Amino acid sequence: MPTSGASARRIFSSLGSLGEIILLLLGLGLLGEQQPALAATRDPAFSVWRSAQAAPPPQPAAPSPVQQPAAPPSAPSAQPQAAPATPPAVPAPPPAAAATPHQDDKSKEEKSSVPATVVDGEQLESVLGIEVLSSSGENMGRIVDIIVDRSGQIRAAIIDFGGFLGVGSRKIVVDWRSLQFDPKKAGVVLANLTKDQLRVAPVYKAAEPVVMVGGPGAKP
Amino acid sequence: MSDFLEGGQPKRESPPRSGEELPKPTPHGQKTRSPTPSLTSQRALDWFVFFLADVQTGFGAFVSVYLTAQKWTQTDIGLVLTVGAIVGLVGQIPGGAIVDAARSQRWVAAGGVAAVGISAFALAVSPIFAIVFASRVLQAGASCVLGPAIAAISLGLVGQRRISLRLGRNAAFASVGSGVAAAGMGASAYYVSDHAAFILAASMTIPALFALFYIRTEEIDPTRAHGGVSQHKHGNVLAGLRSLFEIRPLLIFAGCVALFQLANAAMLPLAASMMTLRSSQFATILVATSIVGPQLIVALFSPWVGRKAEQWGRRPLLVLCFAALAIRGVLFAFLINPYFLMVAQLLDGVSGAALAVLVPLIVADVSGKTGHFNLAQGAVGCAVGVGASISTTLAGYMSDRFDSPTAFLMMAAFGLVGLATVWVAMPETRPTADVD
Repeated sequence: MPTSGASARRIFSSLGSLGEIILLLLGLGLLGEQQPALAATRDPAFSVWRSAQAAPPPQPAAPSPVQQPAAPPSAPSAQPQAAPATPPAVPAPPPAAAATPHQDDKSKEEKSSVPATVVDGEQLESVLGIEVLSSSGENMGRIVDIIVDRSGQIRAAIIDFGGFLGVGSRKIVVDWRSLQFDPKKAGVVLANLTKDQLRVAPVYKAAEPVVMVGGPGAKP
Repeated sequence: MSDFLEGGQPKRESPPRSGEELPKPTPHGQKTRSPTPSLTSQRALDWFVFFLADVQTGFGAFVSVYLTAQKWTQTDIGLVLTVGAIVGLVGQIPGGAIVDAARSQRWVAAGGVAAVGISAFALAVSPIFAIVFASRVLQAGASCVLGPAIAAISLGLVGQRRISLRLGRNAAFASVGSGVAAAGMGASAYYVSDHAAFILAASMTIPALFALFYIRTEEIDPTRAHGGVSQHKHGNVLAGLRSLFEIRPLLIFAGCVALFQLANAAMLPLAASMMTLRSSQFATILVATSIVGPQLIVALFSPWVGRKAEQWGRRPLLVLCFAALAIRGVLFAFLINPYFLMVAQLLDGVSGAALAVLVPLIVADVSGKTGHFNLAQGAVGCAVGVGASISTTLAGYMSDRFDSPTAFLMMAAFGLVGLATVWVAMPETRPTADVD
């Protein structure tokens, strides 16, 4: 029977630094509830925060072909939200939002004349917990975290791979360019890799050299 | 213990210290017959244990899978699980004290079962942080109470003489319940949804409560369930603990079990992680089998352990338990093929069966005269929890710093130390005098 062993192991590996613990306590005070990105953008406090990042809104005139893996978006505003230092109360909108331009994207003047973007909530999703399927349709696990580099560019996703009922799963890192988001279907993402290629990936350890499997040239 | 039950002057091992009163003789001052619980009560206890294991199974590692799907961050998940583990550790001793102090074990057990059911239901319905936090705390606290309560009901029902067989049956039904629940939850999570798995676990509380109340209350002797009348009748927990500390076999046994958990707790997750790494298609099935397989072995093996504990004594089985653990550690270190890993994991069933019976049994043996049976169980449970927590951290550190085979060998070494301790220091605790 799965004991608390597996959970304890996760605990000690995830509660790494004191800073994270302090941020977590802050998040506890805010009760850390997830909200759709749309509501967040309508919240004046959020808009003020976003403007403080000096972020231009994503350019509707720069379409990226929908079928290709989502290129790291040009708008730097999306990335800082994905950084681990983000206050837990604010969810991370996925970069896919920038890759699907629609007439819905419009800049809207808030009362305090702060630039903001209102995007249809149906087009957006939180990236945490999305199921990852291999190129042959097998379930690989779920995304549990995003890795960004110092310039704010999204590099990879961490996937909780394998196991049964939580026992025996490992955290592996998959290059962001190997992940394909389906514009029609939410909650599922395709990886350009087979299960065999994924299972040999080493386990993710923070502050050590990270091995990201996949990449633009990866062939399944 | 037997002399005490028969009334008259109990034999004492040491002269009473000043200020201590002699334990009171049995209420009617007559010879007490050995308990004869009805078949209904015994069957009811079987099914209660079964359904309770069903409810409890869902709260292991599956919670983190579920919460991940609910878009929780890993830090939040880690926090909730840590809190659950801490409450489960710290609450062991108060839980045992509560069961000792209670007049009716059934109501305590019913409260515990209801609490676990509520927490499963809350998890399914509303996975927001505050509710999941409260749910984990509630479930951890309830399990601290339920473990001793079941053993206390068993002891109260069948008495010291047949407790060994009864515990064997308990372990068998619990493991079958656990295996069935794991399969059921896995299937419902796959076919229906993750929420459905927890609703299924929560719904098992109803048959559990039914079974509990089929146990006839008059057949559970509360005095016997506490392990005799306490000499510190209205004493507090600390006085009880102090009196338990003086029982040397209990201390040695707690140390041995802590060593066992130190070696054992991290073995399954680490081995399962190896299986995921080394096998492509069948990794999930292999891990599933290594969880369910040992449960089957426990189910088949523990009644046998219960019988042999009476026949051979407790020590040979303890030795068997630690030997299986050490062998398993060595096998994990050297086997590469994931299928062989799965077979080696079946040895977990052997140690698991032995311990599931022997832990409450030996605690009952040594704490029989004190009336602090449940407190003693809580203390041993605390030692087990400490061992388990250290185990996972240590194994994680070892396998990061060196590699997995080294971690497994280290755990096997702990198992051998435990084996040596049992061989050298642990006395045989089977009661020698015959209860009629």
